[in-house]
Amino acid sequence: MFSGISIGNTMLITASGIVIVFLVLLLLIIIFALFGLFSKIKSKPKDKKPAEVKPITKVQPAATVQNNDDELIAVISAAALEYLSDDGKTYAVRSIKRSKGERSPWATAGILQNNSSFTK
Amino acid sequence: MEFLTQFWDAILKLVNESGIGVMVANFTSTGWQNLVMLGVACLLIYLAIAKGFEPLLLLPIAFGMLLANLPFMNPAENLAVHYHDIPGFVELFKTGDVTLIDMLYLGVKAGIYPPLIFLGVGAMTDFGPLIANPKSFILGAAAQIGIFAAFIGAALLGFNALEAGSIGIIGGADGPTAIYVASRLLNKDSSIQVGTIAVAAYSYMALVPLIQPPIMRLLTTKKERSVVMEQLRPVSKTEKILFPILVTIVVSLILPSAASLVGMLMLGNLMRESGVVDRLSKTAQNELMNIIVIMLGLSVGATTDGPSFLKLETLKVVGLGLFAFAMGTAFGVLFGKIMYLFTGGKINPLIGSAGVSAVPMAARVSQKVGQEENPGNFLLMHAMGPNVAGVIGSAVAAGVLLSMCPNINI
Repeated sequence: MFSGISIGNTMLITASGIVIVFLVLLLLIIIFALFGLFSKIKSKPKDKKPAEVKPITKVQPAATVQNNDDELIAVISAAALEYLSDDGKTYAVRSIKRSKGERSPWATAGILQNNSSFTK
Repeated sequence: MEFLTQFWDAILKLVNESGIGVMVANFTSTGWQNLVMLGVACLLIYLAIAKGFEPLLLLPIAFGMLLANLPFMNPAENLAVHYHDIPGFVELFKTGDVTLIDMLYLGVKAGIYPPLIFLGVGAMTDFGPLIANPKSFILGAAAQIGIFAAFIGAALLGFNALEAGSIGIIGGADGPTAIYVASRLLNKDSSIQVGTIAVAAYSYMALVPLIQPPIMRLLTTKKERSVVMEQLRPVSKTEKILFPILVTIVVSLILPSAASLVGMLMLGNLMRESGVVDRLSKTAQNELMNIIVIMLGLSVGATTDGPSFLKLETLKVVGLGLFAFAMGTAFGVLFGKIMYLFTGGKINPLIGSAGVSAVPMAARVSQKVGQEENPGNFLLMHAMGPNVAGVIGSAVAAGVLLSMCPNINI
């Protein structure tokens, strides 16, 4: 027994290993529990806004749209339905909202180009 | 007549130099070992193909074992690995007798293949259930106690620190981590080799559905197993992007020896979650991982030649591997029970067993055992939290072993 490594060193490695593994993962728990807290705090104001899901006939126009809203709704709906039509299912457009615009159209186009296949 | 004599001499020479001739001539020394190992290799190939035992790794490992045990007249030319450390490779390279397998094994010995496999694993893993319920990290940590329980067991059986560390890491239930630690710790003086660790690790990973359920049922009550957990909160894209960055920084600052494994795991995950390098993510998950798995499996299998595998130490490793898995499962479930008590019955202890990092098999086992008590209970996503936490936990434990074991004198 314990001819290759002394009992003292065995217990030292065991105790250190268990403690370090737990400490590192406890630290990660704290960090990501705070994440959860921040996302709860961040999501609270949005909960107070009324839901924007409405039937297409009563969609309210976005505040920044200057031109004909019904025409814009029709164009967006037609484009979305054309894109989704390949799978044979029926879709209805219930709500149209302006995205937050985190990425410019140029950046999106660049990413799409980078991710396209070599063979195309 | 002379022609016939020369013809017969040529035939005899061919027979003597053939694998069968070498095996028969050396039967009492290495010949019988080669024969037995060929049988073991065929058995593992059968288990991988017919029984589905972790075939992605076990098939190339088993075939590497088969190639390594084909006898050659000149042992320097056979398909086993001919060195045990990088200086040994350098000496071999100078002689010019380097074979295909020797070159492939360099990626194992230099610690390159396992982190690259982790790159693919990270690209395939969704850490959402873990981010949604960070308490799962505790269960991932608890299951790693199995590693250190096996470490103690190995020390009791007379292994030195380097060997005990390599055996203990089998309890992490993570093939690339086990191979990474074993390849860094074991050397030419070790009584076991990397291939032995790999065969034990992957065999037990395939046996998780058999090993875990009895332990889970033994340590939990029917009431505990029936607990239905609350739905996980939604996790935002920002959280999923920040997770790999923060984990890499935190773990690597505390434990630099784990940086290689954890860093590559998290890079793969970041590539997946960022959404801007989809092509790289797909390559990491598919082509790159497949190539590395082939090279790793084949070369690691080729370290299991007869003399290094057929010894008492291999049996000890097999027994300790089972012990490690059992302890990991048991401690995971026990910590699950502690969390059940502290949360007033909100956590199902069965998800604790998923802290062993056999993803996603261990999570599926938790789901299956939970459904035996309550068919409407879906524990899979809850169990994925501890399951992927176990991958990080086993990498941290690997870092500890790599950092401490080489510095221990008896």
